[in-house]
Amino acid sequence: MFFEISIYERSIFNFKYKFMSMKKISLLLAFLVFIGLQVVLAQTRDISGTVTSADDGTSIPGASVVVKGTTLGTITNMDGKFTLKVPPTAKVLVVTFVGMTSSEVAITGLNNYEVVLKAKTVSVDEVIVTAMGIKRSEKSLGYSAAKVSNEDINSTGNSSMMNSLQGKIAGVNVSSASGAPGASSRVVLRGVSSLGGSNQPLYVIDGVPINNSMAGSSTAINGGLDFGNRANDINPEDIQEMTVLKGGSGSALYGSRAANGVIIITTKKGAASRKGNAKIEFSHSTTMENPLRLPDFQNEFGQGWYDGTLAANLEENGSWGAKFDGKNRIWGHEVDNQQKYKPYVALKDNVRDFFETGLTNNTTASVSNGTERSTFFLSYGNVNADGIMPGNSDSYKRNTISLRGSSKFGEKINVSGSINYIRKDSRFVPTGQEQSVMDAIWQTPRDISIVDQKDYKDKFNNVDNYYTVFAQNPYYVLNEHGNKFRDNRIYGNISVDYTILPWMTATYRVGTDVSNATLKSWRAITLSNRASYNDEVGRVSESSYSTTEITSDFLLNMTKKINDFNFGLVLGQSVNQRESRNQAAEVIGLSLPGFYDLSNSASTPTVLGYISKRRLVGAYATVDLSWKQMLFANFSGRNDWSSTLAAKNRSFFYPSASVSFLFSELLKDKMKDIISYGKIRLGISQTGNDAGVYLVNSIYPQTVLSDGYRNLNFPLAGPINGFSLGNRLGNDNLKSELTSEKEIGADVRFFQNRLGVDFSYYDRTTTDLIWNVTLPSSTGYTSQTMNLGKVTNKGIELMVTVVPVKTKDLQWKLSWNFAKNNNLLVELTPGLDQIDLGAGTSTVGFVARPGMPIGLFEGLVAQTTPDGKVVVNSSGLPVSSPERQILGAAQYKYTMGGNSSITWKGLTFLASVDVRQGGLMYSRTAEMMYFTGNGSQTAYNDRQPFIIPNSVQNVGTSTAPVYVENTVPIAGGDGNMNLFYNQTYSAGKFGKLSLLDRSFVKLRELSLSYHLPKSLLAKTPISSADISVIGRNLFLWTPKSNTFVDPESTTFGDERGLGADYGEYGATPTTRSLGFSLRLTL
Amino acid sequence: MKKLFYYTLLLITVVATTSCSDSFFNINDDPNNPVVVGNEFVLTSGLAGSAYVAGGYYEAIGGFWSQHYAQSTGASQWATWEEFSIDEGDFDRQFTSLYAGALMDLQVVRDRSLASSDWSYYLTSTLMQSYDFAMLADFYDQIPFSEALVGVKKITPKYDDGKNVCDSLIARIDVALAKNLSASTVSTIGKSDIIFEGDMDKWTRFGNTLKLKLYLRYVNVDANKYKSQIQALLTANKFLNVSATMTAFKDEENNRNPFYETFMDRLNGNVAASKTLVDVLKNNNDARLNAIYIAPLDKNKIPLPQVGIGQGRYKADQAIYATIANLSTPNVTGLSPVYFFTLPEVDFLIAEAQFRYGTAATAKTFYEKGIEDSYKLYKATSQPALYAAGAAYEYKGLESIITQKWIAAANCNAAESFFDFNRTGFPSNFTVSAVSSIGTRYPQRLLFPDSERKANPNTPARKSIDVKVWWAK
Repeated sequence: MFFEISIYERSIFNFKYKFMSMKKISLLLAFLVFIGLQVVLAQTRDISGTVTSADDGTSIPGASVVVKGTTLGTITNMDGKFTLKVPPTAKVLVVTFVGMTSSEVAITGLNNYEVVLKAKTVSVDEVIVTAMGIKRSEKSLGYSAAKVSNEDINSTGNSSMMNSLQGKIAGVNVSSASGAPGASSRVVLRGVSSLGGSNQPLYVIDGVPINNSMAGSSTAINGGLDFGNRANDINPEDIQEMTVLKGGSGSALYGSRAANGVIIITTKKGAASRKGNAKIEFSHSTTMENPLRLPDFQNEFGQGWYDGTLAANLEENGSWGAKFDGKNRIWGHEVDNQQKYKPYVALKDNVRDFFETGLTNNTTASVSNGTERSTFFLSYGNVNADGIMPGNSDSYKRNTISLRGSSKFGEKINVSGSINYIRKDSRFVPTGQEQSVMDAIWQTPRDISIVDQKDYKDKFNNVDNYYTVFAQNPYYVLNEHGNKFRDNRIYGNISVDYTILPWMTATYRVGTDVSNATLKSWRAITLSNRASYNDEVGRVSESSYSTTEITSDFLLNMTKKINDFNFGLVLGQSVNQRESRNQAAEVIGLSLPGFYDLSNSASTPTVLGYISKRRLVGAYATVDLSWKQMLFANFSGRNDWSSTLAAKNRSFFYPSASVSFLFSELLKDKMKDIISYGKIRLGISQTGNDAGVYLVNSIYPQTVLSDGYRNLNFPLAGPINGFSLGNRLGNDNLKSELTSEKEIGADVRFFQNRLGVDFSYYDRTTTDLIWNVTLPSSTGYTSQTMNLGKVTNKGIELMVTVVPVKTKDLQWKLSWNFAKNNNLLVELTPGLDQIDLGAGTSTVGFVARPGMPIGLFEGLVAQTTPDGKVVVNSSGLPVSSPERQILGAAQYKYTMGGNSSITWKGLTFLASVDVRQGGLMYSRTAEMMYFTGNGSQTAYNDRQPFIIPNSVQNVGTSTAPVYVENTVPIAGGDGNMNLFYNQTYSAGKFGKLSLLDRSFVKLRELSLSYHLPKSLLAKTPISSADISVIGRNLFLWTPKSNTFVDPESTTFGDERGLGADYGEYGATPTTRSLGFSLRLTL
Repeated sequence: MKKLFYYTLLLITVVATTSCSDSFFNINDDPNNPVVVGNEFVLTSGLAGSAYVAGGYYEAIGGFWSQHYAQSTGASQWATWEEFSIDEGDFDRQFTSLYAGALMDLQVVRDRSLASSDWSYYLTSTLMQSYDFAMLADFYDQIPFSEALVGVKKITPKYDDGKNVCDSLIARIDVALAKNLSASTVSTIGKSDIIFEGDMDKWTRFGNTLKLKLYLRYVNVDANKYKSQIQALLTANKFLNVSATMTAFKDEENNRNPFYETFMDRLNGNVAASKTLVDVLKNNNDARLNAIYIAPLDKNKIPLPQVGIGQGRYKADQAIYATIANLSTPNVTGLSPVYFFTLPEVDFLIAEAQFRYGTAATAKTFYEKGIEDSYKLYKATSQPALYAAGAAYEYKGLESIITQKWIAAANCNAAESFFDFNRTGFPSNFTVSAVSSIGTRYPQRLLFPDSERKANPNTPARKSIDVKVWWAK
């Protein structure tokens, strides 16, 4: 008790609570002093008392009250009260209760005793599922392992397991590609360390890795499709908990696939209800979505491009026209001698009005039961989402069925297994240019209504007479073009544990993940009478994607306790095979309109088949040593053999070691009440990472000639076939990447876990980076996949948790996480001063250079004189400098997350905030806003002519320049103003204009839930019920310069690897969702 | 129990080692693409790859810069070509496509056929590769040549001066032409030769024609360097007697003539007829006008008079011609051949050589044959009156030859006209682009490509678009 006083006196985080406690404790003290003065001698007598909890003051029923040194005792009743006959010799009462620290109370003359029990430091014995499904005590881990509970994942009914991690864990960055339903998400742990790979962590469900690949053509700049990555297939409601292993020490046992960290998912297992019956759980959420961020538009100028005739401007797809005057004007094409007219005014919300409210229903029902010997769990989940695009052209339907069970055979054998089926049906509105909805939207002049053109068959809105020839009516695109994606997937595993000896268990586990997806997409025959830039001869394509992954693991787990020492040894072997198959056929040029089948064309279909297969075998051993549950050490080593590397480099070995020291065990009791838990951890590890398939040999693919717009495909007429020496030169020296990591951390919790600080510092170096290096084409090749260079990631992660208030009725938990990662490409192979990262547009490239972080934007800048003046041409427009320059880096400077949870009686209020700071991104939306003159920035200076400050003209030659002061203003009227903002010309503002600050603060989640009181449910079969109002991504704050998009958007998903950091290329705007959820347990 | 433990350990070891046997891992040969391919398929790839660039982008920029074409109103795709403000990214893909594609494929065939003394493959691959290198050297002046196409043996090939490239190519062609094509190891190429179907006589003529073209690059710098060789060639007179073309196109998207595919179909609405050439043909009542261009149509789909737009006037004339629907467009279809040499071009080449190194009368003969062959090529009615004495096309020496060569190159091999203009200063009726960023000067070259700039430190410093190449006048 006295220690507690000192604790609360030191408590710095809640004065109110301190005051309350002090008052209570003072009273109790006075009372104790008072009874201490009474000396009463007597025979066996009755004493009574009440046992209460120190945390919330509630009484504790079932607590054991025993006279010390005797068997005399009783347990407290439902009200926490007890009575006990005690002999005169009895001196001390021992009061114990599960989960609470036992308390000894001196028996005095008093007959009534108030005993207050403190809760045990709960997390000390927290069990964490680590690599290979091995369960270990959290305190024994010499590395950072973050645990996320079912409640954390499902608080706002998010149907995406990956997105539900946003902002929750330090050093875990999750970005959602777009607002399209079912869009892919990208997770990066502790920064990017691989150039070629996806940098995505490995997802492991119940000990078996699953496939996280994408299907669709997410890599295409135009006509990009994103049907989500497969980790998002998992129903979050099926997840019991997730463990995120960010560092190499934790994940090394998973071998080369875990080089970017591991996310371990433990699914819900069967359990009986409170009454012993089968337990039935039901959850449902309905959310409505609308665009979170649309660009800021200017509302002063209307349709037009050049200040030519009105007639010419009426075909334009931008707002470089005259100032609004409110007068009635004709617009659109003349059709049948008719032409429409309307007032020439800005329609402020013409874009927002286009979008519909999205609707997502997410339902899961499960039934489970369990006894000591066997369990089962069955769940069905359904997600039905229709996105914000009008109609059902963007939709996502997911049905998941999971069945899991376990059973004991005799005393030694335990068998468990699971099978999961997922069926996904999606439709996606393509990104990029060409027959693009978003392009048409962003181009719409400020005075033209989009929704009024919904009837795309109307003679003024149809393909022939749509107001502009430069874009297609978006409603036409949504309704006449389309795609359908369908995925059938089964994954599951069977695991057998055999207890050979009490200290030795053998486990064999085999898991598989099989998916078959089909994609059909089509474009209608779209031919315009006018010179249209959007003519389309019609096309149909059918693709199928199948993937099969099998993993087999054999583990021998041994533990032995000798005196104060615990020994553990795990020997294991793992075999993994991954296969994928893709077939596609396409016909271009349809015969019959509206009939979408491969037969509907006179042209030769293009066909494609692709197979890939890889194998990885690992053998590993790990040794655990611990002393007195205080000092823990772990040593492990793994050797991998990979089929993708050159034969001579196929085998690679990597060791790791970690130490954990629970220093709080050494503390005296007095200190222990201040520092309830304290751990220091140290880890050092290496992890290898193999290469992609088929990179060792040079190949001769069938020839395809392309100029970036169209192709000349083989076979040629004749028919004549051709094969061309591949552009990628084979590499028979290819070896694995090696990541070495040092990690030091501490986990310290104070005041009975009311304050916790978890800190990590890591220093990770990846050498022999595997990357498809660009060779100058003059070598005869354009690339070779080679080992080059070195990347370092150094950073800190900090997690602070505070429970400022904890009373019977009110509890407030706060947590804050912070991560800062410094990424550096330290060196490249000599001779290479830059590598291209494979993303990027012609105006803004995406590269990596030694001495700088990975992911640099590169583009043209204005030419300047040696003394810094801007060089302009005869029109007063800046001219570009000959060389491209680095415009900035993509990576965040730091990220933070804040989570708050307030529970008052049955009400819980949750909020989470995600903060990311620094870095740049490319935005096609921003580029379009400048190009079309729709962006608010383009109304600068009222579009009046102005002279670029401090500008000069070169009146000499390029080699012998002579600079004179520029007196030519950028003209407003003749269209040069649009040249100034239009970076497709090599004059004006150049690439930097489409680069935005990536920083943002997002209110990720907000929910208010009400846990119905038991009294209300007493007469129903329902044992627990919660209803909530939920919101996700409700608010977004960005730097002032970004008036365009949600900077989280990444059109390129994760398949482009680092390319995902490039930015967005006409992605559907991300959404804000608001809705309700219901959760029932029977 | 101890036994059991050891057995288990043994099991793990056995499983681990057996499963690591080589056959288990030897699954990394790409099942999707062949590793070994015969010469016939690689040669086709090299020839088609050459045609793709020559008949695609190079034909297009040649057409703009030799004033066959101009940017249309209502669009701006090729505005920078008219402004002469191209940057290093422009034409990078063509450079890459040639080096890592056609040139490398042809190099593979050259290396293999040299090793096996298979001289028909050696001749075709050497000649087509020389044609490509010559075209690149004409556009870029300095190009990777002596150290190019050797993979990682030289990952930063040096740039050789255009003049040295020219000399080396002439030497290479001579070596290839001297090989014994009737030796027993020589293959019959057949259909995979998509240009001459394996006709080695035509390839020999191609070689002689290409050599003559290369010799004439010296007229401004060292005119007599190859004089005797030129005269010998003229005497032998074994030049191409047909056009050298690739015709293996299908009228389906992504299977068509590359210029049509990208410039007329995919990016339609941009390439209009140039007023410069339209006016010449119109003023002379030249029947080729309606063969080279398609006239705009009125509302009832009736052709209107042919009309071209001035160079760089796509903005200025917006009010006159709203879109390309009001202008003439190139008469190129998806099945139009790609021309490496047209027969009229060969005639004019000989005419120029005769004019400079032979007899004036023969020059005139070939000049008139050139015009006749041009009419045939365009399937236009012959009008000999046009080159009769006193008529518009009467032979007046070099200017007549190059001007007619320029007309005959429209829709065929326009890049050569662009080179001719910078080499000879003809034709003399070019107009300065209204949006020129280099004043009254004309473009002389392309800029060293961006991809080379990034990956090859031996790429020379940037040279402006108006810096002359080695053979320029």
